Amino acid sequence: MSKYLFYPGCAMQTSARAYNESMQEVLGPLGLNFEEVRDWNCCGATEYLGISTVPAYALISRNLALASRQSNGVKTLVASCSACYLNLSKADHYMAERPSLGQMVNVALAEGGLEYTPGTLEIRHLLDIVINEVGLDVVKERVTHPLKGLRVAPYLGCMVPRPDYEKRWSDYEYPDELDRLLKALGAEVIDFPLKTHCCGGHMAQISPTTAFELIRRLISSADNYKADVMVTVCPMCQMNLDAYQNETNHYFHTNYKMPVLFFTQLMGLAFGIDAKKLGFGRELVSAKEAMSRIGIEVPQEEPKTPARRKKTTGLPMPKMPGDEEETQ
Amino acid sequence: MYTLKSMAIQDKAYKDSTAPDFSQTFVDMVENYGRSYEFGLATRHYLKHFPLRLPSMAPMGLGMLSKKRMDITPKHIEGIDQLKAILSRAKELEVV
Amino acid sequence: MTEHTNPEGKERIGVYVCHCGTNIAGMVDVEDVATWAARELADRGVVIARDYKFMCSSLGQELIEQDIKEEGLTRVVVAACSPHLHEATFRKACANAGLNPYLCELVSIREQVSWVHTDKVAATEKSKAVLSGGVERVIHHEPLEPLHVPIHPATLVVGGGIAGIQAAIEVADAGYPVYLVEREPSIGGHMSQFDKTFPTLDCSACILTPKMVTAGTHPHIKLFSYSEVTNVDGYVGNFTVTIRKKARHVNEELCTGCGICQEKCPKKVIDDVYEAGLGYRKAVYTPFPQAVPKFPVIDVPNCIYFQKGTCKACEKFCPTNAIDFQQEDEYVTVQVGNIILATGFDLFDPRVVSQYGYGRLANVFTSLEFERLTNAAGPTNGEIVLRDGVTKPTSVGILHCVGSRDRNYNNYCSVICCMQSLKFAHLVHERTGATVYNFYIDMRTAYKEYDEFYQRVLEEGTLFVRGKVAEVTDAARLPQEEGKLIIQVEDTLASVQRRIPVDMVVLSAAMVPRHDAHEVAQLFGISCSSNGWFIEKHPKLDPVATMTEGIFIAGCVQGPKDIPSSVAQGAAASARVLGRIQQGEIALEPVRATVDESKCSGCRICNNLCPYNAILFHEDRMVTEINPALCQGCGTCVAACPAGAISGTCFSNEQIFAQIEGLMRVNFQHEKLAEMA
Repeated sequence: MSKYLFYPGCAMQTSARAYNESMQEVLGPLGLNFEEVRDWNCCGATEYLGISTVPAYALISRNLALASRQSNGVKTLVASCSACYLNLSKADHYMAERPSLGQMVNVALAEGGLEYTPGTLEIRHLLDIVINEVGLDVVKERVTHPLKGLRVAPYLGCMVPRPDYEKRWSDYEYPDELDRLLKALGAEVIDFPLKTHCCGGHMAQISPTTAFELIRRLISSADNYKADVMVTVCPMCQMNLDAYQNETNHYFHTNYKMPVLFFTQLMGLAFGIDAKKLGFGRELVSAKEAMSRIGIEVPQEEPKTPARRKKTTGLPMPKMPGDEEETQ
Repeated sequence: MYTLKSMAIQDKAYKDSTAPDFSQTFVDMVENYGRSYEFGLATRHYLKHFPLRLPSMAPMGLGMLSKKRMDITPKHIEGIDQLKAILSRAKELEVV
Repeated sequence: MTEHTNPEGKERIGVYVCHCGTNIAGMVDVEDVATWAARELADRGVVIARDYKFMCSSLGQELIEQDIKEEGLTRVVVAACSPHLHEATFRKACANAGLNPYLCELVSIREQVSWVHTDKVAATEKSKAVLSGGVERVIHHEPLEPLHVPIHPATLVVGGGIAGIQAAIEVADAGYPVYLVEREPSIGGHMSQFDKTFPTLDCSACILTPKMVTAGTHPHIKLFSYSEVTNVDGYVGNFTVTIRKKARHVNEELCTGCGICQEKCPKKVIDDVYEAGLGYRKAVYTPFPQAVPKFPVIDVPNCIYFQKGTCKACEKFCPTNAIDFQQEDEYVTVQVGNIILATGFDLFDPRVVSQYGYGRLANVFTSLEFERLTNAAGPTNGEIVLRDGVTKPTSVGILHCVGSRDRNYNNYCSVICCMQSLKFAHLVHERTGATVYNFYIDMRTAYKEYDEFYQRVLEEGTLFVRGKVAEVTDAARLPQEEGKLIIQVEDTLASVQRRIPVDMVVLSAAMVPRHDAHEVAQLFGISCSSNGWFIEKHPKLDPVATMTEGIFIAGCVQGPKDIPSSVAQGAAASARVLGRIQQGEIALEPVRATVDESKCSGCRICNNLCPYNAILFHEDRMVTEINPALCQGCGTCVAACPAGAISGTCFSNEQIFAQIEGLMRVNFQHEKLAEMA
């Protein structure tokens, strides 16, 4: 059992309850032991840093200070929410890069009897831990019910691979970590072109029409690729795409019914865990129909996709790293 | 990105955006409870800025409530006094 | 101090301080430096110290010559620019007046003082210190005689692209033997892949193949195709080069180049080199019909016989029994006097610019792929079509600066991409009538008739958008974008974001150094910049020579350039080589390191440090020796030797220590002033 400190963030207990439930279920099989940071507070989401600097960093750093106090030799702090991951990383990074900021934050923290030395903790996203610490080999070993026939659109959103202070991700425009994980689960992964585009963030509240357009782009693109479900790694992305999908349909006179799930939910399914324990049913756009494809042996039907790979008469495509892997 | 946003807010370089007000509402909630409070945030923000959209929002809100994805009451952290002390010191240090 | 003294009256030293216009005099009080030297260094043997506006002028040089004769100078110190520039000038002046040229020392008060400081008082003090160091050092100089080595008349040219071909032909035409080594089965290089050349649009093959034929048939050129240089020994005038002729598995004596083997070979392979991955070849192949030489090669990893043990279709059908499955690599050793490296460039791999979708999105092409598309002998017979092999595009977007002028990849400008993109735009217009967009950062059309070509392409109706493309995607937002590639770009002239749907995207990828450039540089003992371009001796005034005597560079191996510049460099390198050959012998700088064998412990620490491969080790006696003709006097081994067994003429320990003491002799008044303040 590898031990990590864990920062859940507000959404895990409310809008992303399914993420939390499914994550708790898969931790055991993955050999992960998460210890929650005691009495953590909100990271400020995408709002606090917009209107202040020192208070915003102080708010974030209270969590870092609590975590480092609790660490007991554990260096890695895991966040499951992309915004939380980015904010925690940002505070750690800028407190080191701008010592004057670090000092001021520590002066403020001292009012609460706390302190934080940047660099003490290593802040990582849950997906990073699964890919790079657990490893896909272990994941593959745990798969008992491959998600065969399920077409998934891997959607990361913007905050995980960018700005990537520690250079942990494969690419900041087109990372393939989530693709590889979902392939390891046996799913059919589409080459989702908008995988790191914006979900709208808080635009759904501030300027709904802007958000609706961003949501529409993502869902319609996944739909064009005949994806059965979209898979996210972030509560905010899931919330926007799922909860606002109906309103978006209303606004554009469309009728998309694209279920949006967390990657931990699909991991749980592939590991043979009961869907009820994985928070299925909490999504507003039901995944029931898509789920019915799993477990039922559907005949291998080649889904129609846009002409991407060469036809036999065409010119060869350039080789990409990982191409051999696919043909095996 | 946030630098631009905060500069824009400071200079009031926006006309009809509700973003600064939303940020402030959000921050107020966090400062009071230590956690975000979506129900309070959503109702307050929508009532203030988009009252006419509330009916169309209702199904979504009800859905979120019925699926236990939104709490009607806010959550508090234990160390709220500690947090308030930290933040008030931080505000003094903020160079505007 | 005793061992560094200048016994009274032994040496008579002249000191010359150059103004270099205001280059030095603007920051250093040169008159003060000269009068200081005359006064303070008189006890060190300085008998005369002058300052002069331009020491490098004829009058400046005559001043030195006159003083040597009239004052009986035995040593000369010139405080001026870097020795790289004028050491030779002042040495020659000394020699003219009968003084051994190596008794002259040049100290740099321009590059190392006036150009890098902003405090005039401090700069003047530093000049005095540097000068004093030079004076102490020159006392210990010894008269030296240059080494004369004969020049072998043969030349090695590495790389059979246009630059190498040009160099080989010019040397051979002058009547001297040339060995031309090419890694691929045919010479021709990148130019053989193109259809048209800018700005005149003449057919690339039509102008290249006559030169290829000349190189292939020239009585003075010995062509080694499908071969690589594996070892280089020796020094200027006298290199011993080992060439590995890779097994073709085709007997060149018997093969007539009829091509039946290629026709009958059942194995189709994607051709990643000549066809840039866009077309196929057989497992036995010549890259293209006009290949020189005409002999095919068998690609062993893809040959069915070599992999599975059966097939031999080529052998069965060959009318002259030229197929030889037993053939092995052959090593040939040749003697040459000079070497020209023209190993060319690789294309930047745009897969890493993931937002442009190359490799994911079928209809995103590289510039080299597009060259093959337009080539009448290419996989589509010159038809510009999408990756499905049939559909003509109705709109094409050409992206400039992919992998160049981009701090994420390469900072430099890749030189040819603007003109190449304009050429592409013209060809698309001419052959498909499609709408063409060029996305550029700056339009760079320097050189003869290049801008005129730009005007022509503008008039043809190509649309130009100034801005670096953010993304190429197939995710449509609007109905008219369905099924297209959408180019998202900020139009920086109109200050708007644009989304432009097109059928085809061409990435004008940067030229990058060959993937093995560093190894090649090491093999030939020349220097290579950190990113991999070979470094010329002087960027302006000696562009085809290298710091290693006898090794020259030509073409894109030195940096991105177009065909005319590559040809010019090939010709320039051959002119340099021919000059050498005709001299018959070359005088080498006597600045060399030598090993005191009695002190050498045989530790071999120095053995791998020498950038010029000048050090050899005698296993029998367990001592190291330095080849004086190869040694360039860089001093690396001298500094590294733990036993102090290596010393250099012109940079002996005695000289260096004397120079340091000279530097320390100067009381830095400036520092004192600072302390007092």
